[in-house]
Amino acid sequence: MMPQSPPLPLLSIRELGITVGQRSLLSSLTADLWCGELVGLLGPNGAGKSTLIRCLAGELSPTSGDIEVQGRALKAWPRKALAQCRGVMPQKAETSFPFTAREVVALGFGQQARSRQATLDKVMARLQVEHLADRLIGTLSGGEQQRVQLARVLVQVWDTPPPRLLLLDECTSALDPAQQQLVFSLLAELTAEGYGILAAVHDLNLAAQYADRLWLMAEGQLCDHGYTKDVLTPANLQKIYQLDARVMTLAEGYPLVVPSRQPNGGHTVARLKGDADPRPAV
Amino acid sequence: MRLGGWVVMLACLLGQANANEAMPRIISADGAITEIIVALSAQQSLVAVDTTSRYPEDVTGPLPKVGYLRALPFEGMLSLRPDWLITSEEAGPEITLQRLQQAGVKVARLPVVDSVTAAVARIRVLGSLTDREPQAEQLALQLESKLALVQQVSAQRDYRPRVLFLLAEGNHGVMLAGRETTADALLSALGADNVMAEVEGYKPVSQEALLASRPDAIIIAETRAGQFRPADWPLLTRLPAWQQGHRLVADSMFLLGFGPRLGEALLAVHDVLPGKQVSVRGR
Amino acid sequence: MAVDSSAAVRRVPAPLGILLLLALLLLAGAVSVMTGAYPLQLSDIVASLWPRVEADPLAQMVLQDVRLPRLILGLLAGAVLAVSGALLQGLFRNPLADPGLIGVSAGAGLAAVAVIVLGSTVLSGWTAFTGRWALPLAAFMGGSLVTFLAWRIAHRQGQTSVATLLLAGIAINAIAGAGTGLLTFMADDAQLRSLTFWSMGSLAQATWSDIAVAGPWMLLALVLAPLLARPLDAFLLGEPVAGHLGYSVDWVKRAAILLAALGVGAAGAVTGLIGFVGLVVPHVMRQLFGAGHRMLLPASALAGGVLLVAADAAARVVVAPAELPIGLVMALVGGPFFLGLLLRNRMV
Repeated sequence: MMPQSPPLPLLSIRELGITVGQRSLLSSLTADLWCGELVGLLGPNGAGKSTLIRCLAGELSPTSGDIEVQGRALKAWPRKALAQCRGVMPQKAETSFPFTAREVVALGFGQQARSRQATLDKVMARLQVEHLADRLIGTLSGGEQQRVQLARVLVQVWDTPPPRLLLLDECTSALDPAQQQLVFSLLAELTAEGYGILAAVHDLNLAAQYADRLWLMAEGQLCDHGYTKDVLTPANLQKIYQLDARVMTLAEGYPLVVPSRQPNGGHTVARLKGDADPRPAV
Repeated sequence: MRLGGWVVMLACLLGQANANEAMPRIISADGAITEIIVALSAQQSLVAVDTTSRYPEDVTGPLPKVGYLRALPFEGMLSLRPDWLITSEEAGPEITLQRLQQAGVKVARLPVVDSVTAAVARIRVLGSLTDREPQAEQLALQLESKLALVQQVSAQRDYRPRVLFLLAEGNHGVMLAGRETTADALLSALGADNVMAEVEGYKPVSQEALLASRPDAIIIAETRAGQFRPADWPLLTRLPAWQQGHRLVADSMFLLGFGPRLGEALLAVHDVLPGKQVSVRGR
Repeated sequence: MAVDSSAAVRRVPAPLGILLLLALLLLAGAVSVMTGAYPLQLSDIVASLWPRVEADPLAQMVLQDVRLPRLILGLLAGAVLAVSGALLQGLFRNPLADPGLIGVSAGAGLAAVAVIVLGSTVLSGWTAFTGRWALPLAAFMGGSLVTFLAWRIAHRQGQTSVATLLLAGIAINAIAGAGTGLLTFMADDAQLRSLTFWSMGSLAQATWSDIAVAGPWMLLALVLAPLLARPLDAFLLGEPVAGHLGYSVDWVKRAAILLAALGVGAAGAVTGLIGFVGLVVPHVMRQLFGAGHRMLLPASALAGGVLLVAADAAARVVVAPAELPIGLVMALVGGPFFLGLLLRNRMV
C-alpha cells in the first residue's frame, strides 16, 4: 500500500529525453517518485537505466523535458543544498588511491562543516563494514567495496531532515544473497524514515521482494510502472526481457519470478534486444 | 673599435692593479687566458681554473676546477680567496661576477679575441695584470714575429686556398665553421678562404654539402683527441684534399684558442695548405 | 572473506608526521646554511644574523646574499613543485601525473630557450624591454600560456575533459619540444651551454629580488592549494562522485590547473626546470600519510622544501669549488630512490 506522502512528489520527471547525435537514449519519460517509497528500476541491459539515473543525478543534461526535486527544477538547486538531501551511488567508483574504508565513507560528509563520527560509525555498522574501517579500499573485495560506497552515500544524507532522495545504480550487484537482503532491508527501513529511493536492479526477485513500486524500462522508454504485483507479470517479462517465466505470489505477500527452462535445454537468460531468438514467437 | 676597447680595458685594469702583492691569487676562467698565464710563468699564481682550461695539462690537471665559465659558482670561487678572476666577456652569470666584485675580488673580463692582433694585445694585458710585463712583451714579440713569418709565406702563394674547417665537439657531433668564427679568423690570417663563408657561426654538417664544397684543404678541430673518426665520414675522406694529405686534425684549443700557441697553429694549418690548387677530379 | 587484521593500513599519525617534517625542515635549513664551498663557522653565522655583532663582511655576504636566498628559494620552489604535483595527481587520479603533463614545463622551456637563443636578434625588443627579467618572465608566460591552451582545447560546453586535457598536453609537449629542438639546432655553443644549464635547474643564482618577484606567486599557490583539499579527495572517487557530493567539478579542475601552472611557472622562472620533486614527494607522502589531501598537501609542501634544500646543499659541496645543477642532483638521487621504492612495494 501507498505510504503517506507529502503533497509534492520528491522526484518528478516530465517528458524527459536525451539524444546523443542521432541516437535517442531516453525519450518522453514521465514518472514521479514519492517520499517514503522504494522504486525498483528494472529493464534489460541497455534499456537506459543508468542513463536515467545519471540524468537525475545531474551528470547528464537532458535534451528535453524537466526534472524537479521537491518541486524545484534540478538545475535551480544550489549544489551544496542538493548534496545534503540527495545521495547518488554510481555503478562504479574509483578505488585506485590509498584511502581507507573509513576515509571513503567520511568523504560522504562532503562540504558539510564537520564530520560526525557517530553517524559514520552507525552507518558502517548497519552495512557491516565497521571491521573494514582501517583497510585500504583497494584491498577489499568487490562486495565489501560496494557496501563501503553505499555507506558513503548514506552518510551524505543521514543527518538531513526528510525528505531525502537516494539514486542507486545497481548497489548490490557484487553482493552475496545474504548481503543483498541486508542492504535492501536497510533501504526498506529507510523509506519509513523519510527517504525516497530509486534503485536500479537486475535481480527481479530482489525487486519483487522489497520495492513498493517498479519502473520498467526498455529502449530508453518507460514501458510500465506501478505496484510491483501489477508490473511484474509474465506478459511484461516476455515483452521486456523475452523471458518465459511464471510469477507466483508467496505467502510472505510478494511475488516470485520463476523462469521456465528453455526448450534447447539451456537456462533462460534475459536477452538483449536484437539477439537471435531461436524459439517461435509465442 | 676593438683596439680602442683594449686600451681602455688596459687603463682600467692598471688603475686597479695591486702593486704590493708579490703573488696575487688568480682564478683563470678561460682556456686561452690560462695558457697565456702559464706561458708568462705566472702559473704559481693560479689557484683554480675553469673546465675550458685544459692546457698545459700538467698545470691545469691538479688545480681545482670552478666549472664552466658561463656558470661560475660564487661561493666556490670565494672559498679559494682569490685576488683576481681573469676571464673573458663570455663569463657568467652576471650576478656571480657582481658579487665577487662586492666581495673585493678584482674581476677582469677580457674581450673575446677574434683576430690575431687581438691575440697579441691580450698577451700584453695579461702581462700587466700578472705583473709580468717583460715576459709578456717577449711573448708578444715572439708571436708577432711568427705572425709576420706566416704572412710572408702566405704571400708566396699565388692563389687563395679554399679551406673547409670542421669542429668535432663532445655531444654536438661535427659542426662546420662559417663566417664570424675564430676558425674563420684563423683562415683569413693565412690568406685562405672559408668554403662555408655563406654560413654564420658553427652549424651541423651535411655530408653532401661537404662533398659539394670541394675544398683545397680540410682542417678539423677536436675538443678531445680521437673525437673525430674519419671512418664515420666516408664522403669527407673521399675528397681529393683529404686523399692528397691536405688535411689536419688537431686540438681545438690549439687551433682556435688564439693563445700563445697561435703562431704554431697558423704554421700547422699553413703546412697542409697546398702550394697550388688541388686538381679536382671527377667533376 | 576472513578478516585479516594485519591488513589494516599503517600510517604515520598526522601531528607526529607534521612535527617530524618540521624537524627535518629545520635540520635541512641548518645544514644548508652551514654547508658550501666557502668555510663558515657557527660564530660567523650567529654574528651575521645578529645585526649588532661585528661580523666578517665576507662571511656575512656569503650568508645573507647567497645562502639565505638559496635556502628560501629552495624551500618555496620545493614546496610549490611538490604541491603542484599533488594537485595534478589528484586531479588526474593518477599518481604518475606531474606538472609536465599539462605542458607547463614544455611551455616554460620553449619560452626560455627562445629568449636564450633569439634574445639578441628576433627577440631583442623583449630583452631590451624586460632586461634582467627577460628569461624568468618569458618562462612564466610560456608555461601559463601553454597550460591555458591545453585547457582551452579540453574545455567544451562548460566542461573540461581530463582525458582530452592529457592528450592535448601530450600534443602540445611534442610541439613545444619540436620548437625547443629547432631553437637548440640554431643555437651556438655558448647559447647551448646556457640552455642546458637552465634546463637542469639551479638555485645558485638565487637573489632576494628573485624571491621578491617570484615568491608572492609561489606563496599564493601554496596558500590557496589547501582550499582544494576536500574537493580533490572527492575527485579521487571519480568526477561524477565529486559532483554528487556537491562540488563544482569544473571549478575544481580550473582552480587546480591554474594553481599548478602558477606555482610551477613562478618556480621554474627563477630556478630553471627541476624535475622529480613534483612526482616523488607526493608519492612518498601518500605512502606515509594516505591519500587525503588535507594532510597530503601540507606534508608535500614541507617535504618538497626539505628535499630541494638538501639537494641544493649537496649540489654545492659534491664537486666544490664547482657546483652541480640541482636538477641533475634531483635526478641522480630521486631516480634510484623512486625505483627502490617501487621495487620494495612490489615485494611487499
